[in-house]
Amino acid sequence: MTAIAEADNLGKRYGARWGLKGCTLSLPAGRAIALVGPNGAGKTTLLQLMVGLLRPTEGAVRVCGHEPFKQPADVLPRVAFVAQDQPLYSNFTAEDLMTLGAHLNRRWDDRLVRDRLRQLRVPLDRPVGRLSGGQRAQVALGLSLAKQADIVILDEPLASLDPLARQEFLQTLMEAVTESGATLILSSHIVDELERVCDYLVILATARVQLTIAIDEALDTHKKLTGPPSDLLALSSIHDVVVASQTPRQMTAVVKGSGRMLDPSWETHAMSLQEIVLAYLTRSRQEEAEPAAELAVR
Amino acid sequence: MSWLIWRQHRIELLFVLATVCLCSAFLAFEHISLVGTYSDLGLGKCTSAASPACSSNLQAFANQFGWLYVGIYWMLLLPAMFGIFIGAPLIAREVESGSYRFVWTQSVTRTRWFLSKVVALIVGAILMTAALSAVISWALWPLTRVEGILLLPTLNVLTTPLFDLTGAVALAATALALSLGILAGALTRQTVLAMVLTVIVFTAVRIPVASFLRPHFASPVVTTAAVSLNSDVPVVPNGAWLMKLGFIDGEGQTFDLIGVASARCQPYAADPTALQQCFREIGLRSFAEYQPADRYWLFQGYEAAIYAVLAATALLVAWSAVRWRLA
Amino acid sequence: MIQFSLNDRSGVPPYIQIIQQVKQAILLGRLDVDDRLPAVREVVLQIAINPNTVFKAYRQLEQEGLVELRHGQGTFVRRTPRPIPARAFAALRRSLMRWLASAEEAGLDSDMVQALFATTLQDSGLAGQESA
Repeated sequence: MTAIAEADNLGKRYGARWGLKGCTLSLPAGRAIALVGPNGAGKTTLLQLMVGLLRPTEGAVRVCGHEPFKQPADVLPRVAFVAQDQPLYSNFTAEDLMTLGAHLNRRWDDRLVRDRLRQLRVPLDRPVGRLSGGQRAQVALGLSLAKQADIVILDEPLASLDPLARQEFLQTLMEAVTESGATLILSSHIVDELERVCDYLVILATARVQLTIAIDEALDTHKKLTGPPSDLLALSSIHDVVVASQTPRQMTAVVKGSGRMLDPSWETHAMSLQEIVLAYLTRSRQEEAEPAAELAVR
Repeated sequence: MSWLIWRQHRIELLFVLATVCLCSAFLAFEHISLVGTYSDLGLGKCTSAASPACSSNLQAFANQFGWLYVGIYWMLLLPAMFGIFIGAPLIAREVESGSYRFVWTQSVTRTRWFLSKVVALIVGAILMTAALSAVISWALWPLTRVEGILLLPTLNVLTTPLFDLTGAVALAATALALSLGILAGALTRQTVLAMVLTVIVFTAVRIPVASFLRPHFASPVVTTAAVSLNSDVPVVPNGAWLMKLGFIDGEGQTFDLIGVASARCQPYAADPTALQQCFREIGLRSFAEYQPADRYWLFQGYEAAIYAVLAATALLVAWSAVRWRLA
Repeated sequence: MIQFSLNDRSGVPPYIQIIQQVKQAILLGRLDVDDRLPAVREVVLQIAINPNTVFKAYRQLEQEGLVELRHGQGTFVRRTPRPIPARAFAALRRSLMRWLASAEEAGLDSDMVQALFATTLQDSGLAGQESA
């Protein structure tokens, strides 16, 4: 699988605080990638580094083979980006913005955008500042799709949308991406809404990458074990324990790995994607509080 | 980019253009009465204030239209307007509203975006300023000529406001104001603060240059003349910028007032011939220091160069802020 | 034509939800042999789902023998399982209602009933059988 974007020990510091640190990953082309993590985890930082809006403090990032900050002319035409809360010129109409796009981009095809906006009855001659949140999101999305880019990057696209607007947004997005085969990167702090659309997962927490994995593989390889209170160290020597917790009555552990001989006194449960993400977030929070804790293994 | 530049900045540009047109209309209107009165008083024939007829007519003309100086002085704000309304918001507004995340991720690089905007807006601003300064020179020529004959400093081509509003200096000052505005916006990232800083810095640059540097662009010409009862002022060409008038004695001491200068000749005050003899003995002469009007382009060159270099520096720093600091 | 719907909050992966909905439709007679399943593109448009997910669901249904891909035409239902006789269905439902009433009398709530059912189903061996 070819990698459409790679990061190598990528880091970004804002003054004293690191927004992203030690980020190394390789994102496969043609996938729909979910970038999840709590607010402040570094999602926006990573995405903005990928489109050249931010300069790396350390390490490097390459998109379509070029470094976005150093060679913007090579990267920008191939990447479409919609930042958080879909920034646009509020006094421009959708028509104006499409003209802007046609002038400022080499590849531009807005026929599908116009069709979709007409279908959704979004007025093209009203300043976008006076459109509803859902309508503005459709305009911003449409402008990014008209660019015919190889990668479409959306930062928290669903955050301020009501359920209907969310549905319509994802419909527009999936229709376009299915046609073009572009790689998709969506960030959110809510996993549920991305699961239907994405097939690859990147978990970010506390400015670090916690996991990158195909969603199918994640669902197949992660299990929740419940059983009587046991020796946690012994458990972690047999299984790849993500996170574990213990009460006097019961022990619960989330493990990753292919089926191995399990103690019959334990029960194995399949996990939902949300539960898997939660396990890694819990682990990262534990690591942040006590870096040497035995519970947070690997 | 040119479509975007016009679409985004058309209101500000039209606002400044309207102001320029308003000023031009005002000047054109005044021009009519200037020319009318000028020919009514037959001032075209006057070349010096010597003859009594000319002297009183010239003075009357200068008194009647002297107030225009105040109106022109206010036009010094026009270059600042470019800085405030077009320069300061250029980058600050994109950052404040977050729209930079949209426009800098189309297919145009930040550098090309910056360069296109700066070039287009500076050219536009310079054209507007050139038009206005042409109107100013044309509209006020009768008054400038009269004040030149009378050696009045108010509407002299070498002094503020006329010097600042004409020629290369007007254009360079506009470029400077615009550049300072852009720099302020790039560094503060807040539109209102950038506007305020632009005015302050622009004024803080121009006043010292005009007051302290300009007089020294070239050594003034010094002429002297003998002091007689009929005349005690040396001959100074029309339109010159008279910087200093005074008296000098044989020992090289200078005085502002004839009374102080000739204190030693006081005893002979009653006898004109003896007074004259005394003056000659102490070597009393009157002197004048002035910059001749034909140094206009030399001075314009120096001052415009200063502003142009400052403007270029400001733009370079602004560009580097856009490219590096805002990332 | 069957209309799919996805429940984001159910915790069930989308492709399994698709499979379940196809199976349920066949079971309840809403899909018959030779009925066409919606094309991948139509499903994507309908419910904004990743096309690969639909492919995966259809592929698994094909592996289980429930559907077949006919080139150039689409995906069609291949065979339906023995439909449950309506009388047996109704009788089972009635006895289930009676059992639920006695469970409620015994003090079980909905969660406990589901837990009891899940573990008993697992123990019974019925869970391992595919619907034939």
